Amino acid sequence: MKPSQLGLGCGVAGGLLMTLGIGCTPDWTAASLTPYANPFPKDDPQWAPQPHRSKPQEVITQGDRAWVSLPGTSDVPDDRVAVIDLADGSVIDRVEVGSNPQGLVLSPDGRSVLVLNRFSNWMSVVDSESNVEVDRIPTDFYATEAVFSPDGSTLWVTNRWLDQVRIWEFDADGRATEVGGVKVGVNPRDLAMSPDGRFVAVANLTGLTVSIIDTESRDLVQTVDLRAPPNGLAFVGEWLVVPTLSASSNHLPFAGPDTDGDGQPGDGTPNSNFQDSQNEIAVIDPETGTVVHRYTSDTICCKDFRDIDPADAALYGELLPPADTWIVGGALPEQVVADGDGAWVTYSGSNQFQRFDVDVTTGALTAGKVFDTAGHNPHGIAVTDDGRVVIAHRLGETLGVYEADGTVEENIVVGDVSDGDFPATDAEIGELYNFVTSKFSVDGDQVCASCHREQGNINKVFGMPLSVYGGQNSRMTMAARGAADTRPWFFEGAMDQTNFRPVINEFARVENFCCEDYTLFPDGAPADCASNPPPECADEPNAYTPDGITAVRGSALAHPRPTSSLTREAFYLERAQAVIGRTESFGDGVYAEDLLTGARSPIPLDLDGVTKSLGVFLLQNTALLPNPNDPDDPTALRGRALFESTTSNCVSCHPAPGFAVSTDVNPAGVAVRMDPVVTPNYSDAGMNLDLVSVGFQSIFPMVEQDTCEALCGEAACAEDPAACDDVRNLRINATPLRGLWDRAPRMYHDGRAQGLREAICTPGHPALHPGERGFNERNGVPDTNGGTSHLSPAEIDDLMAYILTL
Amino acid sequence: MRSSRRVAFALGAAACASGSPDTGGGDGADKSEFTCELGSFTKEGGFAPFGENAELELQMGFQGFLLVSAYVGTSERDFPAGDAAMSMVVEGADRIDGKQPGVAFVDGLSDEILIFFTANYLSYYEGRGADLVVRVEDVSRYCVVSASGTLVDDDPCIHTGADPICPEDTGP
Repeated sequence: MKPSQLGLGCGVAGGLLMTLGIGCTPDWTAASLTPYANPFPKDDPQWAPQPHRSKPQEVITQGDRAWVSLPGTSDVPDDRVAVIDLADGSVIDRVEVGSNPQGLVLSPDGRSVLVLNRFSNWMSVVDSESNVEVDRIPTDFYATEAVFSPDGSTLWVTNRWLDQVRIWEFDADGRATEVGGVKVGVNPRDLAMSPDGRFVAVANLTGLTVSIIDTESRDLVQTVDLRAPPNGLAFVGEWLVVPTLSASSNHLPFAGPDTDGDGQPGDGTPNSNFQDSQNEIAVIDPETGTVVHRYTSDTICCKDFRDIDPADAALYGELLPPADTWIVGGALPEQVVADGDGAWVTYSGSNQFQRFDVDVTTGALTAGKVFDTAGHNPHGIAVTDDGRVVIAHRLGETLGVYEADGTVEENIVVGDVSDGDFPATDAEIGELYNFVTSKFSVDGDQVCASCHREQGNINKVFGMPLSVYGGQNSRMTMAARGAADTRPWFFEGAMDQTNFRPVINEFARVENFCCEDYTLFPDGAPADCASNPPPECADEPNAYTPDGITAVRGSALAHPRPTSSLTREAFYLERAQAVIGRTESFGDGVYAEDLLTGARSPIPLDLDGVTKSLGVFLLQNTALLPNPNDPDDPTALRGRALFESTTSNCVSCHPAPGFAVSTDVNPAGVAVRMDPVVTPNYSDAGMNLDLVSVGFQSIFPMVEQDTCEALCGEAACAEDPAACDDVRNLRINATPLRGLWDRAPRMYHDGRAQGLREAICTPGHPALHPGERGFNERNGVPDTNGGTSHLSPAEIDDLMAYILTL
Repeated sequence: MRSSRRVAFALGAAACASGSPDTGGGDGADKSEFTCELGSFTKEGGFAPFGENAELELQMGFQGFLLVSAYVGTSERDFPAGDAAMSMVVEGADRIDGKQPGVAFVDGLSDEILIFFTANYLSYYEGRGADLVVRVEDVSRYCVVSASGTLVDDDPCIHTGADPICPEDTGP
């Protein structure tokens, strides 16, 4: 969408002291991006007005003063930075800057705070004494985070749109000149400067890599593939400490596709399903680009019934990470700050933080105690000169000030609670669940936002457990954005906002709760089990699973139950009370409706209530990042003509406004699901790996999939239920194209296309770059994903340019 | 869906189980009401409307989810598909609500409609009375139908995975 022209020039506060700035650039006009429209209609019975929130994100300190960026959301951005007096816990000011401010950095002389405004085309220069934006330094949109060189002469700025680090040099008068950039990985966010100034390390959030730049040559010298999002980074001495997640993808270490490119099948741990997703911290040697240590969750074993014991040889327990690496104490390690010979890490998914000591010789970490935060979804973290830890609680709208022993000194409202503390609506309950999921999981490890970073996707495929060939297939991580563009949306159209419970089920399976454990009571638990639990509930260990799906009993290595809750409902309600302070929905978007009278009432926040709250949250927020690409660019205009032409016929499956068709959302008003338009994901034996399991189909009637019987007859299928798995198909919704510009490169449901060009080009198309493959074909027939084989390379470029404006 | 049933179906004289005079919640006032029945379906026996105090079979399905299933029958044989909303009040327990968009109808018989329990365990529900209400609607028509019955569990096996697990198959 086109940037809105604000008509402001630079140097808005001319005459004030400017320690940094660029002066006035005549041909520059301040502009901010316009958020995407949300098609979720106000007359939808689940729509409800939502409070304004500021979402405090990053924090820096100087003496007793702290600055906190208030970006708001991508749908309703804020444009302020809060200034806090840490001495008395007061908010001194909220400075207006650009749209969606995120990164903050103090100028070397401490007299200015630079603010990176993602949705505006400038950095704000805020005077640190007067708390006024005194200058604007023009940038491209999506300048995100920044770091100064030790001598203060150079500023390095990540840019999410350009996938670059842009470089600014400052002269003796503090005037800035943009001198170039370095191409890094996908969606760079955080960055850090080594203490000796030799390296800039860049965390490419959804591209799953860390880029190491030599500051002298300004060359990219190392790319470290973590195969997981680098959520933040900080140098401690010469070591680079990176909060991340596990590199696994639910493919057993010895089976399934080679998704990590090491030439061997499989890439996971013995754990299955979500249990294979853990919280990790990597320690990198920037000199060599090697990961010298990688630590994982302290609860990797053994709480959930699917957690594998390292002593369980039958289930390949020896392939788990070594037990001495189990030290990461919270969920979703988010941001990190150096503190002497150690580092503090926030856990955004479990409302916690933790300190690690770093061995300066080896880089090894020693874990300190895990502390709870005073607010939801801790994100940015800083340490004051006197050793206090300051944390921005992104969902809680507050800034926590903590002693080094975890004691809460202050919890200061820096955001917006004028419409009530968070959460104040059912959608906000869903939002809390999305970002702090682990509080509602039995082992505290997994979080929705771990894979759906900033609700987008990450450049990674996973083995999908709910499919026929769970350990062998690959499914792309889906973005949790633009949900109202395609309803129903989960599992490519199998589930809507009310019933995606098998996904949420993964966080707290019933097998973990005594009275619902059908393996312990195969003929049924006592009817009064919840009120009068039988001895088994105290005596018998939890079930275990050999395959991640079927729970069985009898392992000598079974472990105690992860929770004393006798039922999942009790567990959820206890957690809801503890985390949210209530056990029922508000009723504004999630409610029970009497079908005879129309009367509505709140529902319990059990699995059903939490699932529906999350569904409403996804509908209420597009979470699509405003698009910086110009639709009026001549290239894009030419591409639009191609997109809408009858020869390409892109619009048939990708019509405006969502640029998708789904069962519920399509211009023609008819249910639309279709066979795969590209070759299904086949095994070496020719089996269609996309097929979902019988069990999944048995409880999800919206799944559309060919039956064996319909294609091969009952007799053949009775003999071999997989008889027709090579020709059966799953029918799915079309992929929405809105927001594709910010998507991680892998595309298609199985992630085989390594970018838009591979997705739209036919095999052998001259527009393909060296090493690229075209996947626009089905079983050898080209142009099944739109007619593009007749287009020239330049026309392919035009078509791509247009799609990236949607 | 697991394939719309292409079976011949002869609905009886639409014995008007539906039809609360109320148009119900939502936007029913703008739509015309038709009559429908709730019942069970088997290939052998076809559609069987729930009688008074029907037996509502509890099922333990994939990954331990509990559910009951029902079918909607109607004499409106041209009704192609509708969105279903379901509500079940179980004696002494919470109400259960659900939605199932795009339920296909063939010759006046719906595809299977599933009502999920997410709060408690099977034996807790077994033997309890339950009042079930289903509303089906498309852009111009709707029906609301209710039934009362008892939740029962006549199936000794559970269906949590690809193959049934029966009591003799497993144990502590």
